Amino acid sequence: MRNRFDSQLEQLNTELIKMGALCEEAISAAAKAFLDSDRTLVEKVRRVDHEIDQAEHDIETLCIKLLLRQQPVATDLRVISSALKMISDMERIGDQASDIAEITRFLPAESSKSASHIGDMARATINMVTDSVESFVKKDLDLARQVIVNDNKVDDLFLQVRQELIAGIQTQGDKGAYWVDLLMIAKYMERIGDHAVNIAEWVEYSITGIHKNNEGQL
Amino acid sequence: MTKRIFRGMLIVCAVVLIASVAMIEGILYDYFSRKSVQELHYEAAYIAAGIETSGEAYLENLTQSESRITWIDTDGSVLYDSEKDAAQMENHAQREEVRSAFETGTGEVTRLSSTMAEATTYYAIRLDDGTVLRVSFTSYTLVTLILAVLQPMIIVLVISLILAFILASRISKSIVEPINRVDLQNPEEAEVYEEITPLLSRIARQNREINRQMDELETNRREFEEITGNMKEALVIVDHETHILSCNKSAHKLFGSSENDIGKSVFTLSRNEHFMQCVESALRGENCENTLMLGDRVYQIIASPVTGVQETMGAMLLLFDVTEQQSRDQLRREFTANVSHELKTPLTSISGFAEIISKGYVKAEDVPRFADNIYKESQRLITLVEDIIRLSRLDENAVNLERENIALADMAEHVVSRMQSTAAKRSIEIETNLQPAFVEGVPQVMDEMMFNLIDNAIKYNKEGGKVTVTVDVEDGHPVFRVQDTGIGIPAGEQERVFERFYRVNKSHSKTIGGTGLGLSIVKHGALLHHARIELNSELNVGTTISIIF
Repeated sequence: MRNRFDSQLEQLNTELIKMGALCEEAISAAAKAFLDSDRTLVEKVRRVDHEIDQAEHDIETLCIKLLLRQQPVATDLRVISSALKMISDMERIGDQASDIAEITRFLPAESSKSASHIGDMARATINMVTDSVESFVKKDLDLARQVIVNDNKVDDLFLQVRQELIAGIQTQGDKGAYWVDLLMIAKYMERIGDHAVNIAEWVEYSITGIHKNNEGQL
Repeated sequence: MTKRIFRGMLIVCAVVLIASVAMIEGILYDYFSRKSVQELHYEAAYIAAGIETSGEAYLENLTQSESRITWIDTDGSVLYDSEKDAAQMENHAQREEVRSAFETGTGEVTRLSSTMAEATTYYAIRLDDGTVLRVSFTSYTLVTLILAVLQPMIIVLVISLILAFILASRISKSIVEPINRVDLQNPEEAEVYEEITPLLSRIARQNREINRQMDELETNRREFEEITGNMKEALVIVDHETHILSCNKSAHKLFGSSENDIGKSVFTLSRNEHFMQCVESALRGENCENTLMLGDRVYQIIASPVTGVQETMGAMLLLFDVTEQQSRDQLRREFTANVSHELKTPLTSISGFAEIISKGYVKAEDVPRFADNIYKESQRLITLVEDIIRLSRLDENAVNLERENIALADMAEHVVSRMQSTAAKRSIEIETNLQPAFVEGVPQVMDEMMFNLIDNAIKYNKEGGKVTVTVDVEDGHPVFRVQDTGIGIPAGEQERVFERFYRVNKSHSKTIGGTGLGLSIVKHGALLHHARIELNSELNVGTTISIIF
């Protein structure tokens, strides 16, 4: 019975790694679609997002099965409950990557993206997602905390990009829609960064038993 | 085992003890009761004789008998009783023993008392006068006897059992001890009961078998590890749930993992899309090949399923570095493109000139000049093709590789003399410093190398410059060196000048001539002779190229 439980936990871990990898794929592809104006990637992002949704559903079922049938305690319970939380953040990352790709379809290919810091922001966001998944895979507490700190960088970049976009609207008011789209993409990326932070916090919780929002209560 | 033997012995002891006590008791009882009956008979006969001689007076004097004596008259009335008053006693005529005595002369009967604790044996005998004498004695019954001796018997039994207990425990231990002492690693050396010798020899045989198999397994495992450990390719073996079963050194190096990662999911090594796809399709039972970018290196993944009786049991992943192969492919593609371009340029000129002439657009006096151009271009083409042929021969080691002892100085002098006229056209002075040096080599290739180096030194020299050709022996190695005072090679490009068709200054190729293959030929020639090339160059000062054999 115990062995079966262990192997199911192991399966949960593997599934989570796969879902994390899908998230990395989705955000990388969405950013590439946006930065390189590569519209062929839009379809791929949509497909990956669909896979992510499927993975969320599967992992959720697995978690609930584990909770009901095995009634885990202590570390096992923590691992499963943080998995449940993590997948909803991962699923959001997938959705937002898909949203970015969707907006990209209607952006003019030639644009002044390079002038703004939005490219830096995309790269920083991808790194955050990669690092948060990596911290889960390697159970690396330091890396998880690093991700939480790195979010400030993305937030700063977002403010910077926002300023640039406002300036863009002021000077090139005729292309207002374009600038608003860019702003939305930037906002999505900023949100993805937040989700990466959430994942990192759940990684921290599953390792230490202390969640940032409930310090001392658990 | 000790317990069992002990228990067995104890039970045997107890049973034997109890049985023997019971049997002895029975035999003794039987013996004594028979003995006392016999005595009764004697006593009766004796008293009867007494009565017959002395009459009742005898009985009066008989006081020491333990037995009860009764004298009964012919009508059954009691004449005398040794224990009771005869007058009070009832008629004894109907008593069984008395009646039998009246009828047959003797009678004997044993009657149990009302408590069953005692048995009284009566013996009656008829005297000559018709009266009957009855003698009786009372003894304990067997049950009473047993009850009477029960207590001492129990004490005896308990003491014996305690003795039996101690002995049984000692003996059973001493029986088992040698078996316990047997060294199961070397059971055949033990000297124990011959009954278990077959067992021990069988254990020994199985021990040997097990040891042999363990050794074999260990050897296999070590062999496998040795082989996979020294493999340049990374090898990862996973089970059907993607857990890593085995990972060789190269794989650890490649993924930056450690032995601790064995047993975890293979996806902890890499979450690369291609990698995961390959693993998954291998676990589905399909072969998969793909490329994986890790850092700036490119790896080829080959994933194959490991199939059991029916289903896929796992997968084997093989990864190897194809970065160089890819860059070689790149070079080959570039080379092909370059060759086509280099071949096309002179051909275009030739075709152009020829076309103009054939259409008659050229004045008669200009025809020689055009023809000269065509001639030059075709010469260039020929040189180019020759160079390519030479290179590919060197590539495939197709040249006549018969080596002979070459006197470098003589050969250098010969080559220099061939070059003098070319040098003179650009008023370049060739200085030689030729010391005797000998190399085992292929003369044809060596000649080409020298020719190309000196040719380059002249071509890329300044007007009125100087070329120094040196042959010497340095540190025991023969050295051929060409030094010029030419334009030099920029530091960043010194690595690349040995590549095919590489030109430092691409725009001047036509005026200077040459194919861009010269140094490439030199490089291959040096490889063929296991020689080392040293290049020192400073822009606008000159270049020194040494071949050290």
